[in-house]
Amino acid sequence: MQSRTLFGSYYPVVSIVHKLNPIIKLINFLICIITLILTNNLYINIFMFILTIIMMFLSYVPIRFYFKTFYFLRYIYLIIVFVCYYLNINLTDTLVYILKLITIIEYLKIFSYTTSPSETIYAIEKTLSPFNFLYLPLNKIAIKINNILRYIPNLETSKQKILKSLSSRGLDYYHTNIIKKIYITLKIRKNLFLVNKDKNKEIYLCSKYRLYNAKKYRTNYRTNKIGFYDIVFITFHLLIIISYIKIRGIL
Amino acid sequence: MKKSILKYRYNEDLEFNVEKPQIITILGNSNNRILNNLLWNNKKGNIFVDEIEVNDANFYKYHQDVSFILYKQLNIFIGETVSDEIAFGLESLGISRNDIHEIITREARIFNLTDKLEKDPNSLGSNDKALVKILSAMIINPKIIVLENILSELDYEDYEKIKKIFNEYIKKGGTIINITNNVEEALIGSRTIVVCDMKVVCDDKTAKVMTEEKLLKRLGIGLPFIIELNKYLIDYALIDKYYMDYGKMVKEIWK
Amino acid sequence: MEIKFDRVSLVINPYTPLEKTILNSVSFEIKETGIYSFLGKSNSGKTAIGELINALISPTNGKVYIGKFINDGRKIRKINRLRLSAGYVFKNPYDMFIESTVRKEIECGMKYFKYKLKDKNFRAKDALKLVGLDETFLNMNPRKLNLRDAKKVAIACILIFNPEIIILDEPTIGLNNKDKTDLERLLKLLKNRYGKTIIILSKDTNFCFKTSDYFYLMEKTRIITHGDKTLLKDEEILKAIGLEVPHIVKFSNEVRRQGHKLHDYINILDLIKGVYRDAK
Repeated sequence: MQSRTLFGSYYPVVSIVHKLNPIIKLINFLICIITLILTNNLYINIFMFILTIIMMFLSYVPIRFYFKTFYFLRYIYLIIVFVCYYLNINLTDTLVYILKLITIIEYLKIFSYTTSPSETIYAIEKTLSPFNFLYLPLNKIAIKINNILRYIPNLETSKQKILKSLSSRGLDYYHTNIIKKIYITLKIRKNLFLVNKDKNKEIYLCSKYRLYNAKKYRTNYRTNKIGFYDIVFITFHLLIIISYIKIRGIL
Repeated sequence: MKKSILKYRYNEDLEFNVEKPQIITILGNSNNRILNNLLWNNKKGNIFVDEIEVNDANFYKYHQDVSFILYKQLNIFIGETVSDEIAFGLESLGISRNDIHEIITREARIFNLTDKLEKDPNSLGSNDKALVKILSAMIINPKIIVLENILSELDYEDYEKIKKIFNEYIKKGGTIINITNNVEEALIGSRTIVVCDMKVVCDDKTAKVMTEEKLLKRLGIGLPFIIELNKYLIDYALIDKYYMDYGKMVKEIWK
Repeated sequence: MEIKFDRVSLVINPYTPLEKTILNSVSFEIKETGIYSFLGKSNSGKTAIGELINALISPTNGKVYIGKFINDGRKIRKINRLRLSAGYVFKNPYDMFIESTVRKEIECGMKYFKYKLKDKNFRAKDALKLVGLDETFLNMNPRKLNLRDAKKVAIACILIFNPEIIILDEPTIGLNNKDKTDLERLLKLLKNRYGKTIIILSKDTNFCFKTSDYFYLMEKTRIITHGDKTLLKDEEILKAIGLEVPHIVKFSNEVRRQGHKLHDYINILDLIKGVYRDAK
């Protein structure tokens, strides 16, 4: 419960962004990243930034969770400003670089708060399925991404449990000096690895007992229709691509 | 000749055979090792389901026929909401979306979990977690369900409800094996197996096993309260046979 | 040591859609040594009471007094001295295990408390003997034990540093009848000979009826009532909360309902003698 702010955690609340089709969300995310990498136009970046903020408010996740990542990375943003000043890059370009970084990180957080790991796997499998003709081991890639997405919140909950257990025996991480803190971090490194290995093995066994088989056909319970808001959001994202193409003068 | 549902053999001292649908309780001090063998963790012993031996090739079908609910996995959930967790097994079987929706709403009403279907399973109490696990194992309709120490996590009202659900499940042809340390749960089932140091000591109807009080006391298992009360009253010559209902027992004592 | 809860409330994830109240204005006071039980269904806030006494979490409102320590959200100085006097056994024993052998696990409790223990010769195998396990368990991996042995090792981990307050969270799940009688004898020994305060958080009314002196009944997030053993003889309250009526009480109430007289007994043997005297 305390680890809700981490990357990869799913925040179980019902909102507009939560109900979007996960394939559409993934395509929007890819459009956002590709456009932002390719362009330096100020207007496109500001438009993308405002769109991200609107999605943040529509996702009903408390805003202070998003603000915590911003606060955590504040030094990196300041370093970028100083480097740009040192290299004599002009002001609009600096602003564009910072906006790009903030937008990508916050969009990633929106995606991870509103999409559960099983929906993400479904979206990745369906998006990569046109590439089946390449005979890549798609199932194995999907399983590996699945494990990574679940591994990080599990690591945090295991760490909280171990710290609680150590506290009740006399070594409290939050109430000691810095030397003991280093000692505790070194000591629980090995235990954390073993506990998490056990837990991941139990999760694998649990899914095996519920008849999970990567090679067989699976249906999907969550309704994945395309609704009104899906069309709204994908129009906004397609507008960005169209304006980028127009600016580059290809069309 | 009827087919046997499950035949389990570890060596000549430890084997049992299930031939008709019933609830079996396994008591004793080797519960952990029996469970490891049934889970096919170290591949010792022989397991026959419907008289076909289980090996690495037909292992998937073994898990379709036999469903396990373990104490260590009570806090481990695969889905992000309760309905995802319950639907996981049905999705693996390839059942269509509308059918899954119907089955979940019907079964959740029986188990009284309708208002918790959209919650995060890690935030529920231990009683509801145990109910979710039992429901997600029963919903794929296996032939045999194996429980380990789960029924002692339930509250009293849900414990009585689960007893009725299990009795209905038996009538439809399923078997339930309850591996536990709480001897009061032996009264649910019609057959009890007592195992000590990987040897079967007793394997008989529950009523007959409960007459061997010296053996059960020596193994540390003891007797349920109502059986012990009946035994003492018979020893003191106040009643002449076993009564399971307190009202009739009291009438008989003071007649 | 005295324990006092003064209108304590605990809310997790406040001001978010996932807000949940665990305790709502709970107050009680424990002054003398003895065995106290908190009975209630699951999700009624029992584990939170144990964690608040051990200062693993802090309350949103109200104060918790343990001896001369106060837990109300501010930083507690010398928190290790508090944890040395109040030991908390987790409900799931596998959550408590961090080391690779049982011997290191038990001695971990002795190593980190800087304050000197009175009896330095109390070793790991003595702690295991108190709970009924022998020396062969000292070299096993605690995560690979079965539930019965794991629960006993968890209790031994707390007994090693001799706290004055012992909090047990659901101690009877997974135990045999013989283990339950051994645990009852151990708790009574700790209370009578060593003068400790023992708090049991459980929903097993049979075990608590035999063992403890004073009861607090909890439902949803509050303490409904409290009293001594006469409280558990009232079937209506227990059924309203959702707890099981103890077997002896059910039998005694049935006897009295049919018009015969019977005293109150705790043991089954005394009950049989009483029934024999009355029926002949």
